[in-house]
Amino acid sequence: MESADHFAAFVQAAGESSRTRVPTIAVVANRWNRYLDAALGAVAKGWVNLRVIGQDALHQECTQRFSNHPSKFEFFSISNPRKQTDQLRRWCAASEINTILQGDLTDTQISRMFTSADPCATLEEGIARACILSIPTYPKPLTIIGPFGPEKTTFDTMVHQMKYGFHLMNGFNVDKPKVALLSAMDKVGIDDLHTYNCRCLLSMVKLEQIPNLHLEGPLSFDTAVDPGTVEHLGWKGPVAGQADVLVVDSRQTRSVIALTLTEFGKAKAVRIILGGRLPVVILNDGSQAVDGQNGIATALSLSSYMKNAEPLDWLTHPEPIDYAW
Amino acid sequence: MVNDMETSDSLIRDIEGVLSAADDAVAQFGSAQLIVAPDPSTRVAEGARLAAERGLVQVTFVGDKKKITAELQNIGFPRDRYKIVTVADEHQAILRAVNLGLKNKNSIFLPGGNSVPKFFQHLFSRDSAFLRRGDFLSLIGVMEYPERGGLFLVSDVGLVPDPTVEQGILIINNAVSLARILGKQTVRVALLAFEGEATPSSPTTMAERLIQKYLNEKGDPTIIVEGPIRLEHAILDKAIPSKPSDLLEQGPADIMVASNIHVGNSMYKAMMTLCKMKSAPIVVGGRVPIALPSSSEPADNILNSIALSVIVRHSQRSR
Repeated sequence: MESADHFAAFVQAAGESSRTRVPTIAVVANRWNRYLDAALGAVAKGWVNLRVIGQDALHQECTQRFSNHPSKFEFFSISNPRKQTDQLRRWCAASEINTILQGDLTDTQISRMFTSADPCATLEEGIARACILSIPTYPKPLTIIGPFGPEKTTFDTMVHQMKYGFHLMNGFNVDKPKVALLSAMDKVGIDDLHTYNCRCLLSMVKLEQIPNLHLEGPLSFDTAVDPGTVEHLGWKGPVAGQADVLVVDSRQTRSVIALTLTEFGKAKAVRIILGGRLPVVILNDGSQAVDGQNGIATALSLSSYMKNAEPLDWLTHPEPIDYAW
Repeated sequence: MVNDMETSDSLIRDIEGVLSAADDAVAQFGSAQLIVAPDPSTRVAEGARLAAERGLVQVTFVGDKKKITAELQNIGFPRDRYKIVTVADEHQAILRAVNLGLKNKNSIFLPGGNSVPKFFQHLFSRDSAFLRRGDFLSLIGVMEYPERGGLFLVSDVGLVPDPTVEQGILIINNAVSLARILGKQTVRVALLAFEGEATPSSPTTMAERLIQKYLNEKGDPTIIVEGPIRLEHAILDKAIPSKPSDLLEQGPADIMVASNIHVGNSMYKAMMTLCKMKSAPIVVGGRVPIALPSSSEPADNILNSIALSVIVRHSQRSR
């Protein structure tokens, strides 16, 4: 059975919110790019007001392009990368903005922005990248969460990813999300640290030390999302065949699965960086207008939850060896 | 310029073509001997039945006779299309299957049960004669994607956990050999990554750049490797080679190489389950090809996998 576009509800909500209090989004841009195209679309629909941080050279072009919406657009001429992130943090702490578009923000700038003890700026420790997919053959949104950096996950980063998965699903009104710790196989591999980490985390759930979360792992992709596989294997578990979130071992895995589903499975994707009190929207090189619209609408839906969410108090300083046995 | 179109007589363009090519091979060399061990699951037995009914294989099941007979009767496997070699112990059953397979130049393997890792543990054990020194096995998924030119290959999708540079090259060699059997004259290889540049903070991308340099400098102008490269770029019409060459026509990747087992396996299973793509998975690099469908694979894919193994086996024989 083909399922509906799971982003439609967010897009509708974004249109309705514009009738009440219009949210504000911010973008750092050194030149006109796809992020400003997406922002212009959202401004034109009346969804948002926009703040652009950029170099002087861009000011004139932005003023020209936003000439139909002068009251909804502000330009801040800041070219120093550190000052750009400081400005974003100030807005974030003062709750002046609801969402950030990545634009020309570098990974280093994002890391700096979200690695702070300031509870106004950060939600949990660490940073994660999430890709939320609306897949025609899957009955609900499927979120893939991986590490922010290029390196593979450690036990700590997996915990951060799980926590962000929990927040993301709570932001979408899923109270007890089904989280699968993804692996190539459903068992611990002899020399595969990732699968050991999966098993350690699972033992925590069995000890009821991770509340409000269904967790299984290691699970292979088909066991996590395909009810036919689950039935064939006779697998019994709360997540198998119906996962909301897949926590993956590396940025490579997240990227390749997401692109496989968008390129070959006709899925639509929204990519978000999670780490602060605001979602940061990423748009791929080849993204189209609809991707920008879906990204902004989804992030706006999440932003009020993330602003008010309490950091989770489980596994605050995890040591895998404590949980292994 | 080498062009697929110029040498397209033997090019297999879709999974139906794989089945037809297997039919042709059987017409020329006779049907293959499919050896299934240990006791088959229902889905494996159904796949074997489809292949037997098509006339591609004669099936030998090695395992517990009582259990096998019950399973085969359950799915209505015609009695005249199979024989059973009774070996109750799982490890001994696989060793016996290896011995049978190595004796017969027409044999192919199909793991029977649900536990693939266990099958390979037995297959690679000290008392098994399956592996020769220097053999390197990899699991390749042959995928059908008509929108972009037919078949492409994905590897390694389940056997090599975290390939070294050397193993990465061997994975490519195995995949190129299979692409040749499928009729590809020019082979474009994409080394998948999350970004298109090699960066020191990501050892995977540095290793991929090394593999690219090594293979492109090695001198076979009909194989061109690009990497690291993002998936959406690898499937573009003029993705590879990125710089136009006099020797090779540009095109999408024929082979996509994953950086580790988690990437490859998840990618393959995403294509198979949620993208509903037809596929034919196979283990190559050993003396006997192994049809290796994953546990969720429908019986049709198992048939495809057996058909591909038949083609590979007959190609090995011809050489």
